[in-house]
Amino acid sequence: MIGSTALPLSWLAARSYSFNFKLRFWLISFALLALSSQLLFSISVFSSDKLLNSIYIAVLPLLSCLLLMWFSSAFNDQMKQFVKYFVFFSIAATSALGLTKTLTGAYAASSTIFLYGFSFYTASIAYLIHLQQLRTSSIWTVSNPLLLITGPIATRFFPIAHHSLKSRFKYFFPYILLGLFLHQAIATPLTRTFRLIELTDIISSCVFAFLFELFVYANFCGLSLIIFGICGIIGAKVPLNFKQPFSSTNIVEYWRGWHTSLSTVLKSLFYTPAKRVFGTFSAIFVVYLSSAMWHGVTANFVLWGLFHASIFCLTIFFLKRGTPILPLVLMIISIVIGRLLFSDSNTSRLFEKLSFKYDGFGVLIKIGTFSGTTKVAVFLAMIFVGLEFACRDRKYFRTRNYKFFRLPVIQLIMLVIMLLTVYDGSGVDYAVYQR
Amino acid sequence: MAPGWIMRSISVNSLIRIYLIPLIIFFYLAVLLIQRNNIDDPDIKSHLENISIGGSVQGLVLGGSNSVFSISAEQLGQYTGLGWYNASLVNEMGLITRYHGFIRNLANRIDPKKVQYVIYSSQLPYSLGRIIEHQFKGERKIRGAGIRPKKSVLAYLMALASNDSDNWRRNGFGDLEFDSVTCVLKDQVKPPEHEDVNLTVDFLVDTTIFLASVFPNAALLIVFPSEYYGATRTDSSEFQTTIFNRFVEVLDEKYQGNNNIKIIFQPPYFSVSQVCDEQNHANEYGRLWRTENLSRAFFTAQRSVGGASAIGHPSVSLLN
Repeated sequence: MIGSTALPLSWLAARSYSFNFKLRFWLISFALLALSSQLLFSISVFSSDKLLNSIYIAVLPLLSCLLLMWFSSAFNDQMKQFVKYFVFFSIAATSALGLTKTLTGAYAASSTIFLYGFSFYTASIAYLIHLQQLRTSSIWTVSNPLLLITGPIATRFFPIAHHSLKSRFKYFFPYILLGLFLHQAIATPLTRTFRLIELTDIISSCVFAFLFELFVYANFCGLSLIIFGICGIIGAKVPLNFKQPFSSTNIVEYWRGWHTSLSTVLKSLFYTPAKRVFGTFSAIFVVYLSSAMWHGVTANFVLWGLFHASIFCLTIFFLKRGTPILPLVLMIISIVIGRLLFSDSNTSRLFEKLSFKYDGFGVLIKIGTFSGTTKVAVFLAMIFVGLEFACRDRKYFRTRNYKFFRLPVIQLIMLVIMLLTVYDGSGVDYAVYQR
Repeated sequence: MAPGWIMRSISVNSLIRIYLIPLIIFFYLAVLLIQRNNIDDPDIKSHLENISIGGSVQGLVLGGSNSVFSISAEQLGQYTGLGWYNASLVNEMGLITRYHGFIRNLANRIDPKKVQYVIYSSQLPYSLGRIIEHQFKGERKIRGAGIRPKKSVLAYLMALASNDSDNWRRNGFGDLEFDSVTCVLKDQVKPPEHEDVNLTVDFLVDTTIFLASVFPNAALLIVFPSEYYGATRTDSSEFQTTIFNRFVEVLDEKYQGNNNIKIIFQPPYFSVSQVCDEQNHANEYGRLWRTENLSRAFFTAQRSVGGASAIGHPSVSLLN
């Protein structure tokens, strides 16, 4: 019958299209990565070093993914239930062995280029194994050079090339502009505040944690939005990694908007199975400890995981009792203290900070000595986050996809600010979640 | 009757998306292009020209903005009877390798063997974080900018409004002409925040070896610049002694040449009436004071602290 012969053919055609599309997407991503690397270096002088580096960081993860996929395909479905956890936690193993750095938010270059993007593609592969959707064509998405810069983890990836280029550009370009604003006008100058990490009194630690939170958000969200926008224009929809986390009124909501692709992986791999066995609250602890291990195997991450899990459970408790103010207060405390724990992998210094000794407000004088660009960046970050929070129930903020910041007039303002303030050397340029 | 032409109505959003945003991006690209085609620092061009036509150069002042403001080659020439030139550059071109390239270029325009004294006075080795900034983590940014400008547009606009470095004038000796500068102390006076000693010493030794290779017959004077610290009494003697001792140690390991090398720690400015717009930038009076103070370092009897004053061995002069 026509139906029974047409189906396999259309299925094959679809698979073939999918494979070709993912391969094409990979190649375009590589070209863009090489181009941006060159342009950031010089617009007039070609650098073969930069090109070689781009080739290494594109091809090596591809080969690693191939190895991992071949490795996982050697097991039956039952064994794969364990293999996925092995793959997910392989980043923890490399961290413990000192082969990859911890993701505190400071610059985390790995000691070996072979492990570039390791944390992302292992998470992607583990997730696909869990969904039983790991295919040959998956290699082109999990090892996509753009996605390996700073995520998102490829939990969703589907072509949208059927929309016209004009409509894709119109929709996705504002994300790129917004991302550039966050990364260049806010995040990069904020790197000048990093020396505050040395201060261990309570006021300085909290101020640093607050500034560092602003930096991580601007850097990570900025790059994620740029990549989301570029992928969209090329013709693929990837997860929107950030959904206005500061438009939340409690920590549960906050985590729904922060690094959503990792949350998806953690929920599928850890929360759902753990909840069946241990119940909700224990499952939350399992999730946060797993997340901690993914970020790095150091004492501060364990503390961070335990701390956030506790706050999360406490928040659920208060929300069920219908007390809205306490969850909000808890959210503010957990963001600041959580970032304090997260950012410092120097255990002795961290414990000194946790003694919460008071030493006056000298840190504010230090902030006064920062450059004008850094002070402007702090101001812009606070405005950005303040708008997210204060206007969370208003028209352009409710959809939690930065609609307000994608309005043409706001884009114009951001572009003018960028033009006025951005320069080479305003701070250190890197991707916070890159290893 | 309809007019001969029909005006199309356009929404504000479309106006912004289609015209204004591309216009701003175009403007940004124009800024990049203009910056790319301009010499980094107008002083570079004038140094390269002046030094070629200025006659024999026997003394050279190098370093950053503290040397631009605070050392006078003309004054040194009067004290020493030699031909001096101040080839210092604000921020030393932002990158160590570029600055070294400039010095080599400069040396090619004179007879480097005839240079008897080289003064290198820089804030770079002593201030926290500056050395790493100027190394760019080992990457080399060569001529032509990337897709970000070297200086922000806002900085350009502010420089237009005030009398900033782009409008400064330097005379035939490379000295800053203070009537082209507005001396208003901009930032708060801060106590010194020193770099890690090992990093400082490595930088100084590498710089010394580089200068010795370019000017093989010159006495090299590595000068710790004067700064103004306000009412705060700062005692940097321990830091200075540590730097000196480490410097001698490391230089002995790495350097095999015959240049006479001295480290000179100049005292801080004693009054705000000596400073211009920053605590390490002297005004005309401060420059007079500092240059005279410096000239005593190699013309009057010196008190040595540690180490012999023989050729190849650094000595330190502590001036007060």
